Amino acid sequence: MKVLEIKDLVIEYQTMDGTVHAVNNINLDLEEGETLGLVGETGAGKTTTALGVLRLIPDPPGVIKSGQILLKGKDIMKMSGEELRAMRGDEISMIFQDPMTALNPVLTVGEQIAEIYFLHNDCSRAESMEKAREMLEMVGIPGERADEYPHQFSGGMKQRVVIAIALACQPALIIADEPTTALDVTIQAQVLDMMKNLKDQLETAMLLITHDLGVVAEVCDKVAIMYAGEIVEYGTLEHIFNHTMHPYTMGLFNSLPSLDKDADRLRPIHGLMPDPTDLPSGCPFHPRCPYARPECAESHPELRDYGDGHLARCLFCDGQLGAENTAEEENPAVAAAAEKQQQTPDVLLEAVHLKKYFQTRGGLLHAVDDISFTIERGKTLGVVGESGCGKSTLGRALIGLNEATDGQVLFEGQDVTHLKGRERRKFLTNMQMIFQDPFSSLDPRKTVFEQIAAPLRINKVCRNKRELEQRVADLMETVGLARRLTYSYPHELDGGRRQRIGVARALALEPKFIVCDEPVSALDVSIQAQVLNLLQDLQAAKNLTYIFITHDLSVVRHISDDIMVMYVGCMVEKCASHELFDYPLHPYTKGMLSAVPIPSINVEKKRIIMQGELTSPVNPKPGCRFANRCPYATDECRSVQPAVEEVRPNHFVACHHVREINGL
Amino acid sequence: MLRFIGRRLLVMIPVLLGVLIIVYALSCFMPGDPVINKLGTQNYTQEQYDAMEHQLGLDQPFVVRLGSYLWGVVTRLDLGESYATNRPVTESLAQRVGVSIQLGLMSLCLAGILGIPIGIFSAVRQNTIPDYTITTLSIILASLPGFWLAMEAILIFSAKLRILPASGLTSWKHYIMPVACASMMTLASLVRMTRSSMLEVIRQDYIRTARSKGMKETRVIFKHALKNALIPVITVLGNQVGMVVGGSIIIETIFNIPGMGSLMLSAINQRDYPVIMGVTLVTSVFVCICNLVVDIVYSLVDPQIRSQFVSGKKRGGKEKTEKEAAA
Ligand SMILES: Nc1ncnc2c1ncn2[C@@H]1O[C@H](COP(=O)(O)OP(=O)(O)O)[C@@H](O)[C@H]1O
Ligand code: SF4
Ligand code: SF4
Ligand SMILES: [Mg+2]
Repeated sequence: MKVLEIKDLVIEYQTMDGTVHAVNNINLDLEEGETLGLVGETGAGKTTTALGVLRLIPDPPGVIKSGQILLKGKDIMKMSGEELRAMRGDEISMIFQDPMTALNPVLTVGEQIAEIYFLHNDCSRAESMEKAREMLEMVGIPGERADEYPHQFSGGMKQRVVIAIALACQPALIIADEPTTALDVTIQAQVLDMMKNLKDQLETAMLLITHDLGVVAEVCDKVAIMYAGEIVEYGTLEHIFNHTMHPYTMGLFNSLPSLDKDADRLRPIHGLMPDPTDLPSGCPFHPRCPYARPECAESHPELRDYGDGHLARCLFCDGQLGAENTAEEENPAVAAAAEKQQQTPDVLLEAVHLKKYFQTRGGLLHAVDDISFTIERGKTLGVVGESGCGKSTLGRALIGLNEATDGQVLFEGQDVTHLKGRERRKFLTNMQMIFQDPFSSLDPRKTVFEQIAAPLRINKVCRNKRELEQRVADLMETVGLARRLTYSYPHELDGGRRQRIGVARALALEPKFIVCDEPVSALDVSIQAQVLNLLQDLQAAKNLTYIFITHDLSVVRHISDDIMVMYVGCMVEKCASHELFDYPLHPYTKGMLSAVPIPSINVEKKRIIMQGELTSPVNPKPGCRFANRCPYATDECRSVQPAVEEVRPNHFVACHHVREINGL
Repeated sequence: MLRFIGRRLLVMIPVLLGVLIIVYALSCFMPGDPVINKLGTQNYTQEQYDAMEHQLGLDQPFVVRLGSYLWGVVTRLDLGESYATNRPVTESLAQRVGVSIQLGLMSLCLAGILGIPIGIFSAVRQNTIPDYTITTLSIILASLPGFWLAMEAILIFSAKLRILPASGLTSWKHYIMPVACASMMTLASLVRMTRSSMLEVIRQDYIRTARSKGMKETRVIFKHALKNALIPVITVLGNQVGMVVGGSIIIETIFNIPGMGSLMLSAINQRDYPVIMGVTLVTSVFVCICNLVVDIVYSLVDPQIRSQFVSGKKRGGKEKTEKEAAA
């Protein structure tokens, strides 16, 4: 039986800049117990579709223009307020993206779950609370924690609570909007696993919104790809992953860095999602489509069935796509210089027993605890680990933004750990940092020109205005920012362009070394690929050395020469990039690698689900910090902290039992 | 929790000492001479002047005076004697403080009882005609000077209509105008604060979650939004409660009410240092205590802050650092 049918749904937002066509004529249906993945870039209209089904579109400015939404045959559009309320939470429930903000901070988690029973099942307060405890147990949280408040839970546990709320009344349909995007990979694996089991137990249908094709491959039965408010391709996992038809879907796959192949360059989709107030004529994808022909700008393709329920919306995707117009924007300023740089390896930066502790209310927080490594000139060291494990603090300590508590940083052999005043400023021009959130790190009231000129002005690099303008123009060209954007403000630009400003600013003083702290985490895959390519080109041209901090393992594999894995302030493994992925030795690395959802349905994966969460970095107990989650932990592990050893040539691991575990 | 309160009380000591020293210095160096004021005439002999100066203790150096004043306060709770009346300052404060507290609390309550619901209503009806009306009125109210409001009220209700008495504080009728006028000023800012805080909360994700559970809008507002929205409002109200003790100079003067505000004004006019110091001391003690009470109330509303106090539940602290890390 069909649980949900969406017919010709059109949703618009009336804004000052015009009408935003968020959802244009969408048709979808969902069978009982089925999981449908809704995939697309930011702004494709996924969340609007979901809110539309619950009739929760903020109004004004949103309006459902036309269409039908049938829940088990009943038209949601025609329901009264009373019927709608009875439906929400009881028959359809929703899981929102950010677990950090989805729970009310002043109510206990128990109350927030119990409320569902109280509202829909006529339970008394005590009965509801009792059921809430059971529900908590079901999502793997001890029932007695029902009386605690959301801030006492970690991100992963909050998301479990949100899921408990969603499942409480055993709804026929769950809509999950990016449920694991904000979580770390090992926690994401736990949560996805749990959602899958519970869904199967309760036979709930699920509409899963995500931009992560790996997650889709893992949990979905069917997939719908959305672009500019339309469905452009629809089919089973087999259809979408193995017989991709639509050029946009192909572009999404090509943009993804992969865990199991070393492609040199990503092939991003060029350009951006079109402005939804002013959609292009014809096929909305034609300005970005590598196969576009003149006809594409004129006639709007229909969603056609190409057999067996595989639908696609493209004029030529039945085998007539022809050759790709490979108009890849080679960066001329960069490509020319790339070849000259083939110098003998030398060590640019060395960290020796580096420590950074913070005094907190609870005690001494060991953010970075005794880390030593070297980086060669022109290479990239990737740093991976879960949030809070000390990656950013390490990066900041290296360039002196946080003064190290103990240990040394040597730059070109010179000790730069405790430089002060003028010397430090002079030296800092050699080292720069690119930050995660390109928006909050830019001053909203300054134009692009001012943003890039600032470091040049402060360090008095240019003698006059003409020279300054020339330098800024050169920098903009280097990072691929069009000259017409010189006097725009950050809010007028998209995330990718803003991050390019961040890169230009970091390059302004011609540094030798750049710490990139999650530079692409806030970006969509296609934009992420553009920025990653830019960073690689610049490295080749200017012989730059990077530390690349990220929690995304496929990104780190793509960009790094060496990788260091951190866990609660310590380095647990470090080796060459391909070695780490082919022969991970530390139990944590192994678990983390197996947790990454792979965007392919053809690989058999054995999952190691790591239970539990990170230990606290505040006054850590002696012993291995991974011991509470490690399947191999012994008494020795719980009392003695393992030292870093070179287990294979150039492969460093900190684990007492690394040899037994790996049969070395 | 007790340790927290104890620590906060200890911190109050240097704060209060600082306030006393600054105010003492300021009043000593302001123009005017209490000796002449006390003599009450321009025709005095040098001997008379010296005698009076000696009697008031003003012939001693500033530091010595300050020291002995502080010593008296700390050891005997002795605030000295008024230059003007020769009666102990504590006595006149005791007479006056009740009136000010009464008036102040009544007007604060009135402002709270009206202001918070109006603010909520205005937020829930955002961008409708009632909302526009309320916002406009509260802006006008906030920008009217307090003395003008009080004078107009007297003109209308006492002079023209003759239904309310214009001065004194002898029957319940006497309270109406002062309380109403004093509360109007707080009311306006309270309405606007509640409204904007409520609007802020309504946009939060957890309100969307609450709606998606299928509850009535009234439950969304009162059960899920209100407590969060009131947190900043409580802070402001609490600080105002502390100020109440000092009385309102404007209202008490215009309506001729014997409270702390009018006491302060006459003391300033007569260069009556001991009284100025007394009013300042009492007001600052109350402000400090009220800040403490606000923090405690705060912790009852906001569990995140409560867990800092309750030492048994260590978990709160740890999760906090994890959250900071995720950010
Ligand atoms: N200024 C600071 N004061 C106190 N603790 C801090 C500070 N900066 C970072 N931390 C703590 O250090 C730990 C590591 O943080 P961070 O380097 O940001 O990790 P990551 O980049 O992996 O998210 C976290 O527990 C964080 O709360
Ligand atoms: S219709 Fe044309 S522009 Fe659109 S996806 Fe197909 S080939 Fe590309
Ligand atoms: S030292 Fe022990 S607990 Fe730590 S990773 Fe190795 S086996 Fe596991
Ligand atoms: Mg970080």
